[in-house]
Amino acid sequence: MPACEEYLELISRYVDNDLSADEAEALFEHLAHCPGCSEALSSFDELRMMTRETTNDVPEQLRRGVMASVDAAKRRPFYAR
Amino acid sequence: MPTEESYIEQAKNGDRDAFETLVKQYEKRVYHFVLKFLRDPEDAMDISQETFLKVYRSLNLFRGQSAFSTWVFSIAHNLCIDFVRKQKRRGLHLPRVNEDDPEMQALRDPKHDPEAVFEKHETVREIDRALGAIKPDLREIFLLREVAGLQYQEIADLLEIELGTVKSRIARARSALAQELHLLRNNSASDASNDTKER
Repeated sequence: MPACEEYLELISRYVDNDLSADEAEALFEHLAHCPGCSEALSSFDELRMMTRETTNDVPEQLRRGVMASVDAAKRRPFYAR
Repeated sequence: MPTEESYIEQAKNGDRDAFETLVKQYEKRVYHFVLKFLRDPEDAMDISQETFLKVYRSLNLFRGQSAFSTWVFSIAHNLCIDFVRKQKRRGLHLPRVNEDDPEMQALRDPKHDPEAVFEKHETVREIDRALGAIKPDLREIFLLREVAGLQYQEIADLLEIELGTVKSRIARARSALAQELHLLRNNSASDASNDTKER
């Protein structure tokens, strides 16, 4: 069952903790009897979880490279920077 | 405990360690924002480094009119957009699906449980493919929210769009991604069932 178009933004804002108490209450009332929107909420939560899970590591050479360039710039005389 | 503002001030005064602390603070988010935007690990490394060097060289221009994070990601975002434009001019088309990003490289470490490695590999593939299938403006806003971790107002400032547009576009991005994931999973399931029948 597809989610209701008019509730998608509320669901998305709920994931981002952006709803007022009234908006949250209206959303929960709707979710209680709308499987499509409940499924949309689960998918949005899952997307967040998947994104976090896949953005954990960063190559060490990134910071090393940046700091090596910073150090090299510091060693250059000011007129050559 | 020192605040981000104090590190920024120290870095402006030439304190190398303070700048390195700022890099540490942002490296993960900047790198993955760029990687998921450009979808190529080598390009992502180059553009992420360029982002931090630009931050370093322009630190004195940062006057705190916006959040530091907004400023850092506006630099990363502009460099990504320029890079994509240059690639297009050269006739090179972004993006290829990235199935060899550092998440996967880190997972090749033998200390990882093979089952967990497989699961994570699948997650990376799924999210990358879904991101590659949605419209660029939706992908961009999703990455600014979920990978860069920017707030709605920060995204509105960075993209120079209305706050209401940010909220609705993020909702559309999530909805489009959820649909893509659903399709991908259905396709994989039907491929697997066809394989079984053929045997």
